[in-house]
Amino acid sequence: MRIKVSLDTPVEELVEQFPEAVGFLSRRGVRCIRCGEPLWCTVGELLREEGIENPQLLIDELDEHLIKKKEQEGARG
Amino acid sequence: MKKILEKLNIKDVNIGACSGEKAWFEDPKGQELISYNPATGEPIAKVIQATDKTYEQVIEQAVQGFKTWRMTPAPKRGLVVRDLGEALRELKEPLGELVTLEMGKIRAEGIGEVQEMIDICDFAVGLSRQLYGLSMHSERPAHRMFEQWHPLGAIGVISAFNFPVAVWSWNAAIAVVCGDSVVWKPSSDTPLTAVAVQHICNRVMADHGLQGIFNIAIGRGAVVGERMINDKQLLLISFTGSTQMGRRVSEAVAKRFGRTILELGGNNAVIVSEDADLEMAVRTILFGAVGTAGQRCTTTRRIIMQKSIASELTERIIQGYKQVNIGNPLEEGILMGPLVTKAAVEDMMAALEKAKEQGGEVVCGGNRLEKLGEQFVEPTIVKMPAQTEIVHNETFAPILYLMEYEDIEEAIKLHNEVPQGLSSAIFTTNLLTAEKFLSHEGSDCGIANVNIGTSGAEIGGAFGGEKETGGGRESGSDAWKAYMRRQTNTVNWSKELPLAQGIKFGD
Repeated sequence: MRIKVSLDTPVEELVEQFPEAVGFLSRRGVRCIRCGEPLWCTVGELLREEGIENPQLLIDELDEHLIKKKEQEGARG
Repeated sequence: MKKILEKLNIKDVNIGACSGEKAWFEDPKGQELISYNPATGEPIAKVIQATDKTYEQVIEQAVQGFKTWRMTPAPKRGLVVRDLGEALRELKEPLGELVTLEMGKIRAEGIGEVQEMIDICDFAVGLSRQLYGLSMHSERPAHRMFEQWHPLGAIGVISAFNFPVAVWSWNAAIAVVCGDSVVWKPSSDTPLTAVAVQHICNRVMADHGLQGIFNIAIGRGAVVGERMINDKQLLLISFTGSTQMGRRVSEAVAKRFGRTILELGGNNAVIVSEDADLEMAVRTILFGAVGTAGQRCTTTRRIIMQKSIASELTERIIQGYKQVNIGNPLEEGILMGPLVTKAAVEDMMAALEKAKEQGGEVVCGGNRLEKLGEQFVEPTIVKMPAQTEIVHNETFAPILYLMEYEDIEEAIKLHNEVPQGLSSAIFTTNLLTAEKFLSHEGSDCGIANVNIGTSGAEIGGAFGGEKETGGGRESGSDAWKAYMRRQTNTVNWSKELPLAQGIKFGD
């Protein structure tokens, strides 16, 4: 199973489709929502703004995290 | 739910671009946006979002609408807004309930929000006869010098989910009596309240044979929002949202020399001194921190309490928190509903983890309430050893940080240390302490209160804040001036041509 978050994914779309990504990224110093509203930029723009050195690596980790979450949900039925 | 939607003309699928009763703009390319009830997670209805094509249609209507509207005398514009206020009175309950349904604040707050719309309409009606300019004494003989305030143009309002209709009305009611037309992009979390308001506006405007004055363009920020902030035809953008987004809006609008009103993040504190009426302070803190599930710009997020009363105050606030009924916000007796989205819950939990890492101790709450639904959480109190990094950040959730101080100087220092500057309050019965807090060396916020909390502003005052809150002012007082252009005029009624500063030129 592959979840297709990329650097070009709009943050608004990410937050809507994968809300659990918000917590994952926030714990790594990247906040997707502010004042309860998603930022208007892409994930790549956000990561660059937050000074993330290897954005693609973080995206890969995020993908893994989302896949695990999906699998756990699936296992719970 | 069905009854509420019917009363407000909300269909299963609604159009998200409109300029009047006969000007709903459809484009087959428009993507669907589903609005969910945060209490149940169930879909309420859909909206077809604006596309480039329908956005252009809306803007064209707004620009055309402005050209005729600006020539309507201001007191007559006021009469139209009076009718809007009356229409809102008729639909106060269903519209307030839709606010609750769509974003999760309790019913009383939802209806209160519509009351705020009515209040600002009333204010705007009076204002329509008071758009005064000054007259000045000219230094030149037989000259008259004065200023006039002219309508500005088509303007944009970008609002947030937490006050899905009131913030629009603060801007729109004032802008419209000033002679402007308004294009509104509501939050993507609350599109249906915007559609409902548009129906109400359409009805009123059709009665007056008007369209293109109140307009909506519903869509994502990255699509419609970006179009608006870069659109030269929108002479002013009033933006309510985060500091991060405000910076983006400000830069884009400044590049084209447009105007902005920015209502950005808050990190509001209440200072409680040892001479305060603690009973009153606790009630205020409870409403300020838990109301709207901590999702107001003016939510109380920090308590700075004098050491001598810290234990007692903490205990009383905790007791207060334990009395808060959490549940479906439409039900009687409920004081706190869900957070607006699942993402907001994630954001809150991540913030709590950080607070603990930074030495915070959760003394009340801190958990999800999954039994009630995925978006319910406990209102949470965190005792902090110092004002750490997490306390400097606004988390849009019911997290209240407690800190202690020795003397008022230390309290004010802590208070002003955060980057935001929206609302502030002090509880004290000492006149000198109260005055110090309100003085130039006191609170650095746009709103500073004594013995009343940080949230629940009235429409009569100018609303807004300093520093990273953006500096904008909207609603009452003289906030109307931002929606008009000032023109300075000099008329020479003599037969001479004297120059200013006594300059002789060619005599």
